[in-house]
Amino acid sequence: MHERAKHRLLILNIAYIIGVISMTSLVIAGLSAAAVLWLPLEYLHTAWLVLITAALVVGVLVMTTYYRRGKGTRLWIPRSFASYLEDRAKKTKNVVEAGALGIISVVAELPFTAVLMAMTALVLASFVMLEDFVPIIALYCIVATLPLVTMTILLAGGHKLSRIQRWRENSKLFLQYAAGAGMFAAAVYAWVNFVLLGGAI
Amino acid sequence: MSAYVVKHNTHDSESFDVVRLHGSILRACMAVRAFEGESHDIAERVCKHVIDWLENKTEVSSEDIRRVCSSNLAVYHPEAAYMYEQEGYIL
Repeated sequence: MHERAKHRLLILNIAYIIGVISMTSLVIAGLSAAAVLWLPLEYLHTAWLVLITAALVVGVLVMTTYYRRGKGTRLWIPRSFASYLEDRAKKTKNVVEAGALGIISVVAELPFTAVLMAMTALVLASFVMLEDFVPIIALYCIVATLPLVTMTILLAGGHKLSRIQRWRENSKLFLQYAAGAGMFAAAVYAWVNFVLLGGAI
Repeated sequence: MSAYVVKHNTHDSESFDVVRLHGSILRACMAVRAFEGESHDIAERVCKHVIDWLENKTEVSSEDIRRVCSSNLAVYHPEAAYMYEQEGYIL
């Protein structure tokens, strides 16, 4: 690939990641603000129970339906969102549009990620001082975008897209079970720590 | 050659567009870091194979085109053929 094209791809990838980080942090900050302003302390226990149940349900959904059956790695996000993202991703040459695609992809994945974001927001609202919100949200964003950053590094390092896609396709069962197991682990951790022990982080 | 292509999702019928096919093959080749000239060359050759295959047909499905194109593309560039097959199945 031409050096200039490679450089452009890298810039577009970085813009996409910045879009993802911006939207993720906005959603968490928004949910935290909502919890601080409108969630009375006496309902905290109930809120945790609702989120834990939701995490278990989403965990099962991720394990069974995250990737659609058949060939490829089609996700269970609304098809209109998926085709829009795929279509625009092919055509975009603009960093602003790449960033906007990052924002839209976070919205498209909200059915699977909203519970974890809400749990983080509840932890922030309940146990963390306002001045510590930014580093914790930043930490969440780093963990959430780690796969994207890894992919960008691999592409910048000269790895072929086909090789990465082949790995995704071959490992999709593992990936969806790992993601589902992660949701279960978060639910169990929240149940023990925040419901049974009523403790802090 | 005046074949009609029935689309997989909508079942709408439209006349075969070689420019569109050329673009799809080109994108698949570029995605696997083939050089631009090489990509155009491969796309042209594969389009010619598909046109030859369409010669005595009046109506085919888009999946047929995809299958024929992919098997011909695999001869010239297997990695690009894989990416071409994955188009629409990635997200």
